[in-house]
Amino acid sequence: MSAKDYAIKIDNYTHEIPERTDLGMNAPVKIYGNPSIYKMLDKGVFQQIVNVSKLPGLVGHAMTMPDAHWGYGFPIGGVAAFDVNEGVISPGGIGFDINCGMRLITTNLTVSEVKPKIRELINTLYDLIPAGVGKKGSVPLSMQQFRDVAENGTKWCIDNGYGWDDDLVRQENNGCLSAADFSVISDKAKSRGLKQLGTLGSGNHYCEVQTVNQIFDSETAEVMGIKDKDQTVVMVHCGSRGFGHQIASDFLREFLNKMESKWQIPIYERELSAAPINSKEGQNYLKAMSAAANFGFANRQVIMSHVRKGFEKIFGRTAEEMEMNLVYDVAHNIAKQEKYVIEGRTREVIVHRKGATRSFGPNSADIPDIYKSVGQPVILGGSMETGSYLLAGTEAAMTKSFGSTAHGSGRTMSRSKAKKKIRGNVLRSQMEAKGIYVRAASMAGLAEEAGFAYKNINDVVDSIHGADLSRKVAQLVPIGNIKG
Amino acid sequence: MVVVYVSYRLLEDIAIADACFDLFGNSLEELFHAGFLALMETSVEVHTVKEIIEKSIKLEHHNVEQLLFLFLEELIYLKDAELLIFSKCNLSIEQDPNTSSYTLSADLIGQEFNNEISTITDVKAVTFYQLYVKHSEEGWEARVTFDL
Repeated sequence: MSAKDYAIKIDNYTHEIPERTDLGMNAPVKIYGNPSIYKMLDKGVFQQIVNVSKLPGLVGHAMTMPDAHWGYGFPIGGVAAFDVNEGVISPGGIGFDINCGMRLITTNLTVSEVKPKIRELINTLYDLIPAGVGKKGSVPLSMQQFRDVAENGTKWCIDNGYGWDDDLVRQENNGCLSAADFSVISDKAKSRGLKQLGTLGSGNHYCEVQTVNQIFDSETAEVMGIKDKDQTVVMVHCGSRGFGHQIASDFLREFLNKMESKWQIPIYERELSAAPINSKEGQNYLKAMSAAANFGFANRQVIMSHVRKGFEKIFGRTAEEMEMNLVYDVAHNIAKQEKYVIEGRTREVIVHRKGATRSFGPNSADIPDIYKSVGQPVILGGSMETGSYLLAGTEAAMTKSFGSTAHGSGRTMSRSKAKKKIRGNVLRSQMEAKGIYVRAASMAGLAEEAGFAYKNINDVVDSIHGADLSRKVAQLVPIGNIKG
Repeated sequence: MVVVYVSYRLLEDIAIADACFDLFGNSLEELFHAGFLALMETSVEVHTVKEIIEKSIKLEHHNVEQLLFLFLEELIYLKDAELLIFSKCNLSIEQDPNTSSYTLSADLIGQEFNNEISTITDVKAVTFYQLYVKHSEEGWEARVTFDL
């Protein structure tokens, strides 16, 4: 029997695999997704989340979001919370691209103002934002400055002219995890990140000019700065680049070498390596991961400052005049220390979100005052062909999913199969015919990101809205895109 | 040093968001060279990389699987830290008869990234996912997965 065979349907959006000692589980598993999503989930998702449920100190359910797909260690779209005293921390539960995340920027421009200049705008953004393999960052840093970035995140950017004071509060944790400590990080990781501040990277990372296609909740949309259909917005998706990748690799290897011998934790899959949170090694990873997360926030902040410059150049107005405000910046590869009431008892946990977004509801202490009435903005990036969504966090998410929700569409087809189905230049022409102008560092890389390689984002959104993990606010569709 | 010619196969249905490869070689050198090619050809169109810079690296490990991991990780490191990409690799692997430890020496030939190189995708990391190296009568075989 496969792990999926043990799943029981709870409601239209939820399945559960009850805790089974014969499978070695320490906790039950919850799988979110409507019937269409559930049918499509690959078997690797089930096996991997069952493996997660075997780790010590797990609180509540291990769970997968509707955009889940086969990763290593945790599935992508995996969420698990571990008790801060008895639990573990796992680099494989966060991902190599620590604090990969999304940010959304408004403008007061309409699509009819932007469309005639979209080629010029995208070409300008492509020149301003280094994208693709082997690109040097746009902000030269000394090692001391790099340390400041890693320990202060977005604040460093604001202090050095890459943003507005108001940007700071519109980010998870104000763009800085205070646990960051540069001294625990390897020289290799530092060298990999030093030249990469302000770079997009490649794969599914992008900077996309979008227009508001549909508003589902006008009051919440208004609070978030989305005022009208046809309003132009900009979405940025990228992470902590080589700095985060190397930190993840370093600690994954260190934990793997000690899991069985030092901490007597069985190894179910090597990418699921973990250390007790209270151990020196676990604490060091928390410090290093926080530094990488800060670099991720700073990276997106610098890119946003380039976006503002690009718009100023093309439209001849200041970014302030164009009301290019940050809606929010969300991380979707991260671990955070948070408090939840579980079975009547307040538990302090480290919530791992790997390909999952925080979705804190109204009045949560950790969201900005401006969003207290509606819940935090949740940004879901779709494929570059099909569009994205802005949603709001819910109270239900706080009790159902450790304040977590999906992060995107979720891939269903391998990169190589996508490339066999379409050539990058053909895809670019097809997208242009649909009104989406694309500049890509790699045509092969573009083909890998074709819309048909992903799940239908509408099914993902239907699932999280239906399960009340997030509320739909607006649908956004692309008109221009730069990708690495 | 031995110049070697090798092969690899992409496994399309494993880790679909990333890239999983089976590597083959008649010798350990051929196997590692297959890993080199799989990594480089995932990152760039290798024929667009010019032979301008030579970089020598030396790595040691008692475990051949870990040595392969270290070798590929070093190539990723050089891509990000020194902005170097390679089209050729001449390598040798020696095993110390006393300690059984392996020493890899490689001369990497390529160039610093510029806009003339046709890039594909960024390899973020080598992973331990399904990683193995094995030797049989048919030669050496390995499986390696890159996080993209």
